[in-house]
This record gives sequence, structure tokens and C-alpha cells, in this order.
Amino acid sequence: MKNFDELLDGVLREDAAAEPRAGLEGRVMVRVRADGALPRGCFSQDWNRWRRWLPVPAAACLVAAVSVWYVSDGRVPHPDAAALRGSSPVLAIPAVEAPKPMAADAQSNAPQVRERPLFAEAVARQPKRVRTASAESEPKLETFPAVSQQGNPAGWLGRDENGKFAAIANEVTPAAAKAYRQLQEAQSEPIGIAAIEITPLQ
Amino acid sequence: MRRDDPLEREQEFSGIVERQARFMFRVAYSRLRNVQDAEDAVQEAFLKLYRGDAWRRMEDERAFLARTVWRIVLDRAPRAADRMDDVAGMELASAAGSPERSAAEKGERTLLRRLIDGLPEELRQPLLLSTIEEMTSREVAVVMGIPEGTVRTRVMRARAELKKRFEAMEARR
Repeated sequence: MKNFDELLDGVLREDAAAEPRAGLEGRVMVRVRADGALPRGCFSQDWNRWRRWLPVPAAACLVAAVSVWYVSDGRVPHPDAAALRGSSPVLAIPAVEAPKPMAADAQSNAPQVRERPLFAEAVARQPKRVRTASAESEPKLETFPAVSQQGNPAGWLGRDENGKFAAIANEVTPAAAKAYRQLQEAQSEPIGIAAIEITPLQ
Repeated sequence: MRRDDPLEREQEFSGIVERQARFMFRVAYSRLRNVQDAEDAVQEAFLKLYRGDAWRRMEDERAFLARTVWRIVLDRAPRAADRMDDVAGMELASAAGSPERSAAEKGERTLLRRLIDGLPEELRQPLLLSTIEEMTSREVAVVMGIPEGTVRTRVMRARAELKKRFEAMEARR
């Protein structure tokens, strides 16, 4: 049916040859500018320019995060801590405050705050992972240990085993022995408590 | 840094608008059948293009732009469909407004337009696109995202389907 094909082509050609109103191109550009597309385009260009540098701060953040994690995990030993620790597992006791041997009073029960640098903090945590034979042989306690006993699981500090500890410290390194003597001297000094003055309310 | 200069960028974009705005209008019009809707679709397409940067990497300019405006047309088509019947008839009258044309011929064209509108999308789209500025089967395939051979098959099927329906309608008259 040739007639139909001609008719169809004619209809399709009419649609295909449709003309817009005059000035379509100008109206398009005006709309592009008026809609704020130009600033957005500039912004996207800026973004395209800057995004190539994004990996740099990202890498810096990653390095910083890994460094902090590495240090806080105790993998970097502090030189002072290494000297104190020596090679003996006994000296790898956590760096917590030793309990004072004097009678329990209000002062000794108060938490003792000691400022430690970041490296020392990291090193102080590390020995907790060391499992010594004495720690494994420690009998199970009936009650949860008090605050004064925490950090002293083997009981090397405090009770009558101080002498044993001193002997071992003397055998290991002179520096450790010296440090232990200083600790004992500090513990034997009486604690001076200033008189508390309470002024009456007016 | 030619590509980063906003003025150069705008000039480059303006050149594309000058070259392809009418072509895009015809692509849009073939589906929307309304001058204002088609123009709106073209403007929206250019806005969308300018906000992005893909237009600077076009390999086949005509096919890329036709695809862009065609997608917008498909989004707008349901809105325009409500008034399509009225507008189609009205514009048909204005396009074929010469008094010499017979009322019978107008009736045939009107009927044929309605039959085209009634085709399934998969047949109507390649039929309409293939008649715009002699778009090749490859360009239509890019616009629709289908193989080139499928475009040819669908165009033939569309024509055959239209012919069948048209003859059936004529026989009923």
C-alpha cells in the first residue's frame, strides 16, 4: 500500500521538521545564566581542580591515625622505660603506684594521681600482657582484690616479700636496685598533713 | 588551562547550543508534540548538561545530546500526555492549514497520528527518532541504549503495525 507509506512519511516528516520559536538558542543561554548554572559550573570546576589533591590530606590523616594507634598500642618502647624494665620479667610489673606499707588511713586510700607522658603510659600498659609463672600460680581469691592490690598480682610489693624483690633487683641491674631503694625511702618518709582551717561562714 | 577558563567554557557551550538546539528541539517535539513543552525540555537538557562536565567529553555530539533530551522528554511525557490529544489536533490544523487540503486527508493524518501515539513505546520511539534530521540507526541505538539491529527491526515492526491498524480503521469507516 504505497499510499499508506507516503501518508506515514508525510506525518513523520511534519513532526521532524517542527521549528521552535525564533531565538531558542538565546533563550537557552539566558536560562542557563539565570538559573545560576554558571556559578554552579564554576564551583564544579573548582571542585574538579581541588579533588585531585584530596588524597594528600587523606593520606596524612591515615598516617596520623596509624601513628597514634601504634604508639598507644605500646609497640614503640620509650627509652627510659626500656632502661627501667631491663631483662627481668619480674621488673615488668605494671607501673602503678605501689601501696604504702603504713597503716591504712584516709590519705593512703585516696587515689594517687600521677602524670605520665604518653610513651610512659603506653609502656605501662604493655607488661600487663606478660604472663609470668608466678602470676599463673597465683591462687584464686575468694573476694575481688582491693584497689591497693590491683596492679600487684604477684604480691611482690607490699608484704614481707619486699626483701625478696630487693634481692632480685640487686642481682639484675644496679639501676633497678637504685630505683628500688629510692622507692623504699620515699615510702618510709612520713606524710606531712597540713592543718585544715575551716573559716566560719559569714 | 583552557578548559578551566569559565569564559572559554561558556563560549564552548554556547557553540553547542547554536549547533544543536534545533535538533534537540525536534527530538523533544517528536515525542511531546507541543512547542512549549519541547522548548522547556531543551532548556532543561542544556541546563543539566552545563551543570555537569560530561558534555566536554562527548564522542558523538548528536547522539549524546539526543539521548539527554530524550530522557528528559520521557520524564515529562506523562505530564504532557494529558493535553496531547487536544494539542495534536490543534497543531495539526495549524501545520496543515492550507485550505486546499481536503477534510478527508486531515482525517487520515489525524487518525495516523493517533495510531502512532497508540503504539507501544518500544516501537514508537525508534520510529519517531529515525525520521528526525535523518538520524542513523546507530544514533537512534545510542539514544535508546539498544543494539542497532534492534532499532531497524523495531522501525519495520512499527510501520507494519501502523499499516495494519490503519487499514483496520479505514475498513470500519
